[in-house]
Amino acid sequence: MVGRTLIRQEVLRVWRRRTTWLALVLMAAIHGTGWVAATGDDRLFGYGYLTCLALGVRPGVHSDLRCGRVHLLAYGLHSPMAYVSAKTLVGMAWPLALGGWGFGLAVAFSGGDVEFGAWHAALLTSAGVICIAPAMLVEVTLGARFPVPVVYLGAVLSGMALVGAGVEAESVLAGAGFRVTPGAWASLAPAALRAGVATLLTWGGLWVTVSRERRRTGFVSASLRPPRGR
Amino acid sequence: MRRVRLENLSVSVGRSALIRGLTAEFSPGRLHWIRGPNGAGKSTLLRVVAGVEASARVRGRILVPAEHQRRVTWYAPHLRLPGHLRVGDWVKGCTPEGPGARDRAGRVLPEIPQSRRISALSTGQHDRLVLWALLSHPASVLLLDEPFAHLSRDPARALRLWVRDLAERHVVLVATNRDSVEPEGRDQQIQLDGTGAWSAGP
Repeated sequence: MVGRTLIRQEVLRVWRRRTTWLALVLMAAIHGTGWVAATGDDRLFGYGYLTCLALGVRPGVHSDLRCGRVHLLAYGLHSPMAYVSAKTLVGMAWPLALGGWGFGLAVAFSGGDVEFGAWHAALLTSAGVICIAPAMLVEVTLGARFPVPVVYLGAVLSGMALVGAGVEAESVLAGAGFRVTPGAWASLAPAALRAGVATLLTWGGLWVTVSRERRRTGFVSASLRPPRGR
Repeated sequence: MRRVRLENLSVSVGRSALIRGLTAEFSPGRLHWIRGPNGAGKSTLLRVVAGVEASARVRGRILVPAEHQRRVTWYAPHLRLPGHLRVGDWVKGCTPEGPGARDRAGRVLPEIPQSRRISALSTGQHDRLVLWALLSHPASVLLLDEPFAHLSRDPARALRLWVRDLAERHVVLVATNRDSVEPEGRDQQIQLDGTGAWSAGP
């Protein structure tokens, strides 16, 4: 058994879920509506992506914990490292795949506007990757089946609270890494940096969660020494 | 050194003591049975040794092989496989290398269709898939909680023989309250009664 078995099983889990396909269709529909209306408003691109992310991101860590699969997969058949890495990789692969899908849609609906599609896909992929760490946290702590909407709500409420406390909205956006200039690739650097940090946080958070499943109360362990003479 | 030693182990849940002062050593070469009625603390004891017990208060010492920190073969009836997988996906991912692996699968999983989703399996078929995977990749310590409870006769017999074979080289503890599972020859038994008392013997 190697890590790639776990990755394959995770990919199959995402692939065989009906909400995955529903999310992709919805994204195409929302996105297409935007282009057909020829509004030129790039927010529609974002709405489609965020809707798709909300439906499609279900890491499954909570159910793995509840059904003993963490013990079975991480300690019985594979290793905690393989389990955590597979979950993180596939968790991050979903926003990346959505980015690719969004890029394809944008190019198709715009009749070949590659620059627009590529820049927006990169921006939203960064946003999606940043979402994964809090989504896993929400799923593990609250057991939410669709954790991303909870993350959106938390982000909106936090932003409102900060603005209410006197922080400028521009500063809140800058702090989150999303004060960007459409079409300017350099303005995506803060968001990309935060996406990288979020990936590490996701891995670390999962590692802590999985490690806590063993060595609970009162467990004392030590290596036995062989008897003398051996 | 492949041994597990419990020294003066006491386990209590809430205010009731399940086990008081249990001292025992488990080593390869014999099968170790943990017996007792429902609620006697068999599963709790295995969970304590596995290091996954969250709610019990535990005192005493548990000495385990170093590998036990990283890997443990712990089977409990509540373990659920990923329901989205098909049987073939699971078997393909878990098939061990080496001679005899296919024969084992043939004896333990004879009639389970490879194309069926795991979520559509019966309890007994599901448990066989879990046990087959775990026993195919045994850690140095195997902790099996009621492994034969839902199995029909032939697969249960094949699995019992397999477990007995593994016990020659691994530490194997099996918890059961089934009188139909008779210990043999060198087997060791620990009897729990749920009031804290215990007895050990062949």
